Amino acid sequence: MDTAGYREFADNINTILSSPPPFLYIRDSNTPRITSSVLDSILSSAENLRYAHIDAVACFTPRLVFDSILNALARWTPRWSDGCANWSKVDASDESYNTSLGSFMRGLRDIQSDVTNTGKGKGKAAEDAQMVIFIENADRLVSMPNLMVPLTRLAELSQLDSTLSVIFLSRVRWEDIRPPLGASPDPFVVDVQPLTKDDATQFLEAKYLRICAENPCDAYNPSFLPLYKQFVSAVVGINFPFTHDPNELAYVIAAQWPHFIGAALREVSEEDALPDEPTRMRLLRSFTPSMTAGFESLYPRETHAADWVESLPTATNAPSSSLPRMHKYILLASYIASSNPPKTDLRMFGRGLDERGKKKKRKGGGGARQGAGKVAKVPQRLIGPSPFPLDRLVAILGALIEENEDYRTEAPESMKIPGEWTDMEVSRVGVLGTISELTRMRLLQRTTAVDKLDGPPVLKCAISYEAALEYARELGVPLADLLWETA
Amino acid sequence: MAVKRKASTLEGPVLKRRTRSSGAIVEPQDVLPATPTKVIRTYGSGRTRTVLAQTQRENEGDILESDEGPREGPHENDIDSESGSEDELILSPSKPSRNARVTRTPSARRIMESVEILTPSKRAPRIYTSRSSRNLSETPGSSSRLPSLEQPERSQTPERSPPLPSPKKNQMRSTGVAPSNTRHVGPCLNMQKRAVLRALQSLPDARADEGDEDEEQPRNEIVMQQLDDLLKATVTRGEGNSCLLLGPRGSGKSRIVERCISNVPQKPIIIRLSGWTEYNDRLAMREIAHQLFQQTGTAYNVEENEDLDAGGEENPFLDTIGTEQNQLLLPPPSHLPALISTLPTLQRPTIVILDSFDLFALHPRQALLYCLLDTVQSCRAGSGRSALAVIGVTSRLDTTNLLEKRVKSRFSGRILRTSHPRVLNAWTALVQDVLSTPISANEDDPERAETWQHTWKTNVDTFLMDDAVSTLLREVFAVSKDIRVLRHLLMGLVLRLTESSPFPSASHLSAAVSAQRLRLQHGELHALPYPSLCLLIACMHSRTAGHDTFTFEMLHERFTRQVRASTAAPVQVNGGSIGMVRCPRPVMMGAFEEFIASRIFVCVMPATAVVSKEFIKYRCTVEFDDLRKAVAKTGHAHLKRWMNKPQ
Repeated sequence: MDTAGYREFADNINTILSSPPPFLYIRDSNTPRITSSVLDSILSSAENLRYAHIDAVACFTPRLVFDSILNALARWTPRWSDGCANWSKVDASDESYNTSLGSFMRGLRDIQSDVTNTGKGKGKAAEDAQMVIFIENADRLVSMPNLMVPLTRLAELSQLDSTLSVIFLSRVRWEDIRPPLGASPDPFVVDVQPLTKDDATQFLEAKYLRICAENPCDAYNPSFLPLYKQFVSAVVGINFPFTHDPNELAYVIAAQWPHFIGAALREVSEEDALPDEPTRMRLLRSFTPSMTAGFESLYPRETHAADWVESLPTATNAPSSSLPRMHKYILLASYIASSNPPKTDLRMFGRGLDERGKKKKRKGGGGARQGAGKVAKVPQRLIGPSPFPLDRLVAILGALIEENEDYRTEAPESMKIPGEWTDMEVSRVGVLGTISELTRMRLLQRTTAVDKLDGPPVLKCAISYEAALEYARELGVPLADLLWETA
Repeated sequence: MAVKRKASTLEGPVLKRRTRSSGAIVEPQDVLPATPTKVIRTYGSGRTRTVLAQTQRENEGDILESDEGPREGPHENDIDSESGSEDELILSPSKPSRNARVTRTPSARRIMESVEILTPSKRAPRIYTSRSSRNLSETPGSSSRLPSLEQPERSQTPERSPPLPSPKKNQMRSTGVAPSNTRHVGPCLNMQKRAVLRALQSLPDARADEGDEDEEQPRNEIVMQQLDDLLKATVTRGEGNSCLLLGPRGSGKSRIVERCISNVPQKPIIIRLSGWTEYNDRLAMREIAHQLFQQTGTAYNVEENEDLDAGGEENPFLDTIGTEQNQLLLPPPSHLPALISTLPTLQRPTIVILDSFDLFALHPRQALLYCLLDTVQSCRAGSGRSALAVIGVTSRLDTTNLLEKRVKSRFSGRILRTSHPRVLNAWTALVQDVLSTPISANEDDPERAETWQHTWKTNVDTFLMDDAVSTLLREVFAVSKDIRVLRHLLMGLVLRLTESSPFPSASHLSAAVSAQRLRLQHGELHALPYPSLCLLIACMHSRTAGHDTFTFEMLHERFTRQVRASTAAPVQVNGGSIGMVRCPRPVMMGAFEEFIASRIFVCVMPATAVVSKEFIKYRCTVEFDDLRKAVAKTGHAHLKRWMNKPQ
């Protein structure tokens, strides 16, 4: 496979593989997946070479690492009918190779001797077979500290000096994952150059041709290639500044291309003809908004391509207005409790008996006041909700309800004192039940352990500012007036 | 054998080097068999002296010339310039008394003469010939460039001493070869690259004797001799021996051990353990049992183990596939002392190699070391039992201090120290050796291969004579003498050769140095997509505002504020706003997560389920200057303005 932008890399790797160093580190901070596939194809086309390509994400325990490497190097596929047995040497089957590093390295030596022996039978060519272990996402190996160092010096430890080499591929710098105390030898580092816009375009075109060859269908026909090129260059031109990963761009393009080509074919009358240049330009211009929109919802994977094409509503964390009124009040109270400093509650909500009904609007000047040389305080909404005790939530809830709900018609005659009725309402068991229900729904977060007995439970708000605004609008609560810091 | 030959041809420059750097220090009497150690250690000062000398040249040029005058005739030309620099060294103001210098000058001169007579090597001036003289030799007769040199004695160099790569050949390179043979360069260059890489991989073997020619015997050879004697004593006379092989990384410890073992007359049982793979005593013991089984064909301590197994209950959760025989083979941990004490009862002597010896000392109670060393100590020569040798290999200096008292008292205390080559010449010789690896003859066109070989060799010589190259090598050597560093540099150098510039040059080497040694922290910032750059700039502003740690929300807030500010002006060009491009929040979040994955943003608080991801605090590892350069390189006007905006 000749991937655009990887020619120099492929040349270098091919040269290196003629006599590979024991430890090679390939760093690609932009498109490691493409690099991995390029390297894989280079390795699979190399002569006299056995290689194991493992992904450190998938092989997350030493045993998995050992088994995957040995099976791949021995070109052994576990079969269900054999009980999925791993590879083992024919005559000396008294040991499983995956128990420890020592046995793993014995396994490597056994494979090497196997290769050499069979090579002698077949001819001299296979005699000096190289073994290459290629580990993708090598930064994940950090979670197996006992494995990392031996892998980096595997050739030396397994005494397969010139025949074994280990290649790490990662998007992280070697300096970031290097084991401490210089335990690993420094690798020979190969940096992969970032892809340019042209490379990305070429990559996408090559991908189109590959799909046409492998899986021809209506939308993917080689005769559409000129039109596809135009389409791709338009999409890449719009979206390349936002991501440089051709795979992401390909996903966005794949969602739209069938529609585009469908629209284009509807424009022309006869079969097997492409629309002329003005029509193409017009089509491209009409598709431009959807290119942007598609990228914005498909790149973060807010929805998947099929749903997006049918423009189904996206499943977001948008506030659901189906919650009961009390739930909304509680959530709003929790948002206020998490955003405002506790000391400000009295100024925000407190008022004397006679002031009832009068709104006292107090606006805080949170970040504004600032002495010289002092570090400005970061608004609470940027550093996340702060935890608050349950009592405070209930108090704020009471104040909110008292301000915004008119219970006086329902209140019995006996309750003369203003707020008495509300106090009774918010201290009902139902409210506490609702709070714990919201906690289970993860709209509130409990930060203390459930089995902790002393002190009130401490909670945290888990809804966003937008959600809080929405609830406030539905309840008719002037939220902006109740927040200490202005947004 | 090739190695030996190289070494002997190298004597010239090395000896001269010694006298050069030591001329002012060593007494003239111990001219040739001088004690070299003193000399080599003053390498750094020698370098500064060279620099000083170069600055002095302009002032003292006339003196030097008059000094050189009578000596010109009988000697080889190119060495004259060398002796000239020698004189400069002596005249340099690094010594306090000028009189003393002047009186010493004749004796130093004599040293030089003797050296010259001994080694009329043509490769001699490789390191010292300056770039200027090389340039001159490349363009013969272009004496119009001489005035720029300002040095009378330098200006004479090209006429008197055409250095080895003769002008004709160089001309061929600079004008003829590359263009006319472009078609042919490709395959030959490829073969040459592969040949050099192959040579690099077997580098350590070629290195053995290169190190310290000016010592009577290189340090590593002495070590090898000692270790060899030790092992022979164990194998032939049945002594129990223990020793520690101590030396910096890459100084050839393991290689010495391997060589000594291959030299041992009988075939002993060899048990190799490494502190990295056997990170506890149990694993180590299993490994010993395995290796014993492999080399002797007998399993040890089997009976006891069977008894133990019979008593134990069957554990259904253990992986029993294939472990039954394993269990038979391996003794339980409590039998460790018993297992090790069987070592002397074996038929053949045993050699135990403990790689990363210091890690074994960190095992609880140092049980393995205790057992091994105790057994070693109780070995009695001539008792009819086989002997045991324990070789520890480590690079940690205070390893013996790690040993417990009871372990230390059983250790012989014998420490053999290996070392890196201590003079730069070892490196330059290696570079020369490796780069001039011949390519295998091309069957279909042997002539072309030969031409290539010739051109290549010439260019390698030119490369090595380049001052910039020796400066680069010297700088790297001053920091790390590890031969593997050199190997990586040369690999990088060779991989950088292309058909358009097929011969090594100083710029290739410096590129390799910056790729392998002086790596930029974040090299490709300018290639990042727009949202990522925005996040980084927001980070920088956050840092300036005093918030080193930040959440996603804080960065996003800064970004949106900046976008709002830049689009506030109601100016439109071609129907579009001239402000910064908006970027939806999820896309920014994607960029943010990519940074986390590539560890440009490092989490500063433990991740808990309680904190949602946009409020987790991070720290940025990119420095302001790097980002400023990267943003300037992108040429993005808005980003540049935002970057430089005070906040």
